[in-house]
Amino acid sequence: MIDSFAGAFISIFFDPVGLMTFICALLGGLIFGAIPGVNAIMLAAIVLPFTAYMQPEYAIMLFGVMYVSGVYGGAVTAILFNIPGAENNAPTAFDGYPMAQKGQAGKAIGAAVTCSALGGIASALLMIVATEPLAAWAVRSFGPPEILALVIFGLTVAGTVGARSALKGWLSVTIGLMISTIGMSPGGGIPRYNFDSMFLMGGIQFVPVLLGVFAVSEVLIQGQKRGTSVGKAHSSGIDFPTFLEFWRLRIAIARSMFIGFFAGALPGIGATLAAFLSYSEAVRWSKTPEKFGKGELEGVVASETANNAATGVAMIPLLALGIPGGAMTAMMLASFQIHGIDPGPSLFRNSGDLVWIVFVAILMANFAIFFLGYVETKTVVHLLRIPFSILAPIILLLATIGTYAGRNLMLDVWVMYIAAILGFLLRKSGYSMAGVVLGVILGEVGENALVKAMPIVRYDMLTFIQRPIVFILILGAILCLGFSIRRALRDGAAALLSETQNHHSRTDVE
Amino acid sequence: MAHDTTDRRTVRNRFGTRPLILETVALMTVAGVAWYYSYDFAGRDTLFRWGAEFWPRVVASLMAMLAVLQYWVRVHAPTVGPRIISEPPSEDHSGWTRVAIILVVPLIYAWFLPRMGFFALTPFFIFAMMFLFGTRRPLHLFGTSLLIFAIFVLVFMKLLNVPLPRGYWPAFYSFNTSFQSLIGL
Repeated sequence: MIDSFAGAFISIFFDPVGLMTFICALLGGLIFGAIPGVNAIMLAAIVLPFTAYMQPEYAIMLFGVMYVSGVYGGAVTAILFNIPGAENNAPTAFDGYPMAQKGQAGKAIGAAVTCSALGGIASALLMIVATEPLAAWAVRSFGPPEILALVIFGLTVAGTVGARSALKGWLSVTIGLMISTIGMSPGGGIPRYNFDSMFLMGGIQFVPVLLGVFAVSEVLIQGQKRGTSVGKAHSSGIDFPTFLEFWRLRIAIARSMFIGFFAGALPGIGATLAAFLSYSEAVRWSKTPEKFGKGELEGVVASETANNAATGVAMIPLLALGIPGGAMTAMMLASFQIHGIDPGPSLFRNSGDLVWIVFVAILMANFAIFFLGYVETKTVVHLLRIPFSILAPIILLLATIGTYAGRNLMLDVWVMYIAAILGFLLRKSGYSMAGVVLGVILGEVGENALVKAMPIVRYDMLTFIQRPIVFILILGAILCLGFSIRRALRDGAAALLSETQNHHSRTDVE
Repeated sequence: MAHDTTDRRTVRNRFGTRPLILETVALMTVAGVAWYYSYDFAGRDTLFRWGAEFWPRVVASLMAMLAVLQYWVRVHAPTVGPRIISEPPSEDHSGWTRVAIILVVPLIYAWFLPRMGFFALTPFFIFAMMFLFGTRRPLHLFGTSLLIFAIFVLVFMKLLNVPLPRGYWPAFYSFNTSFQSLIGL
C-alpha cells in the first residue's frame, strides 16, 4: 500500500502534466463551485469531451479533484454574501452569513475550511481503506444477479431524492431508463428505436446529453432568472476556531462525518443531501436549537463536514462495483468509457496504478482545501464580479466545441441542444437531472446484468430472490420505497393540518 | 365547525392542473409510443428468452403507472408528498420568452456553423449572447467578444489542436482557411 501510495504521489506531483492537471482541477472546481449559477458538475460536463486527449489516469483524477474543490468552493460565498455557490453549501449560509453580519466572518470561514478538510480527509482515507477489499469481495460474491439487484436498489434510492417529489424522482429515473433502451439490445444485438438511423443504432451519445442537461440547460435557467453577479465583493481573512471550540463540537463533527459517508456511498444522495441532513440533525440534537439560524458555529461545522465527507466515499461504488452514485461519478464513468476502461471489481487488477493516482489526488485535494480557503478569501471572491453575460457565451461555446470535437459531427451538437431543451423543461417541472442521468447509465448496466442473470437463475424469480445478497438488496429497495411513501403521507398530513390551522386563524381574524 | 375550512379546490389550483394534465399526457404518450414501436423488434432476439422488447416494455409500463399515480395523487391528495430540494415552480411567463430567445441564437449558430465556419461566425455569436444577457456598453461588447474569441482560438486550435468547422459555403471556406493561415495555425 505504501509503495502504491508513493508511486502515485510521484506520478502526480513530480510529473509536470500531472501537477498541472491537479492544480487546474483544484482551481477550476473551486471557481465553478464558488460562482453562483455555475457549478463543478457543469465544469465536469464541459471538460469531459476534452479528456479524451488526456492520459486516462489524469483524466479520471481531474474529476475526482474537481469534485472535492467544487463541493467546498461555495462555502466562502455562502458565508460572505449569503449566496451559496452550490446547493451543497446552502445550509452553510443559514448560520455562516449571520456570523459574518456579526463580524465573525473570519471564524466562520476558518471553521468551514477546517471542517471541509477534516470531513474530506476522513472520507478519502475511508475510500483508500475500503475500496480494494470491497472490490475483492465483489469479485468473489457479485455475479450478474447481484449486479441487477444492486441496480434495482440504486435506482430506487436515487429516485427518492433530487426532484420535487418522490414520484417525480422515480419518473426522472424511468425517463433515463427509456433513453438507455435506444440502440442495440444487449442480448441478441437487435436494433431498438433507431428508426432506420445509422447514428441511433449506436444509442444516444452520452457526452452531448450530459453537456446539454448540465451545462446548456443551466444557462437557460440562469437566463430566465436574469442571473447577475454578486456586485461588490470584499475579501476577508481566515480566523481558525480554537482547539477548545472544536473539542466542544467533536460530537457534531463525528456525526456529520458519518452522515456524509452514508450519503456519499448511496446512489443519488451525495453531498447536497448530506449537508442538509447533517444540519437538521445538528439542530435536532442541540441543547440550544433556538440559536441556529442566528450565527451558530455548529451549523457551519455540520454542513461543511458532511458535504465534503461525501466526496471520497462517493468513489467507492464506482471504483469497486462500477456503479456511479451521482452526476460527478457518472462523468467519471463516461471518462472511463472514453478510454476503454471498465471500472468495477477488475479495475484494481487491470489498472491498479490509475486507482492509486485517483486515491492520492483526492486525499491531497482535501489537504489543499486549507490553501484554497486562503486563496479564495483573497482573490477568487473578486471573480464573482464577472457578470453572467460573459460566462454564458463562454459556457455555450465550450459546450458546442466540446461536443463537436468528439466525433466531428454536427448531429452531436443538435443532440446536445435537444437534451438542453428537454433538460430545461424537466427541471422547471421539478424533475431530477441526476435521476435521469443515473437512469441512463444504470439502465444499460441493469439490462446487461438482466440478460446475463436470467439464464443463471433459469428465468425463475424465486431462485433469483433466494440468493442472499440479492435478497438483502431487494429488501433494502422495498424498505426504501416504504419509507418514502410513509414520509410522503406523514408530510402531507402535516401540511394539510397546517393549511387547515392557517385557514382557521385567518377566518377567526376576519 | 361552522363550515368546511379545507378548500381542496384552492389547494388543487395552487398546484395547477393544466400543466399536470399536459405532463401526464406527455409521459403516457412517450410510454405508449415506446410500447407501440417495441413491436418492430419483438420476437427477433433468439438469445434472450424474454426478448429484446422485455426491458423497454417494463420501463414503459413503469412510466405509465407512475404518471397515472402522480396525476391521481396531485388531484385527489394534493398535499401528499414532501418538498425535496428543488426549484419552486416558475410563475414568470416573461422569463419563458427570454429563454426561447436565448435558445434560438445558439440553434442558429449551430445551423450556420458548418456552413459559414468557426472563424467567420463565432465573434458574432459571442456578441449576440452577451447582448441578450444584458451587456450594453459598446466597448465592453466588442472588446470582450473579441477577447473571448481570441482565447478560444489560442486554446482550442493552437494548444489542443481541436479541428473546428471551416464552412462549405462559397467564400466562407476561403475566408476561414486564410484566417487560419494568417494566425499561424
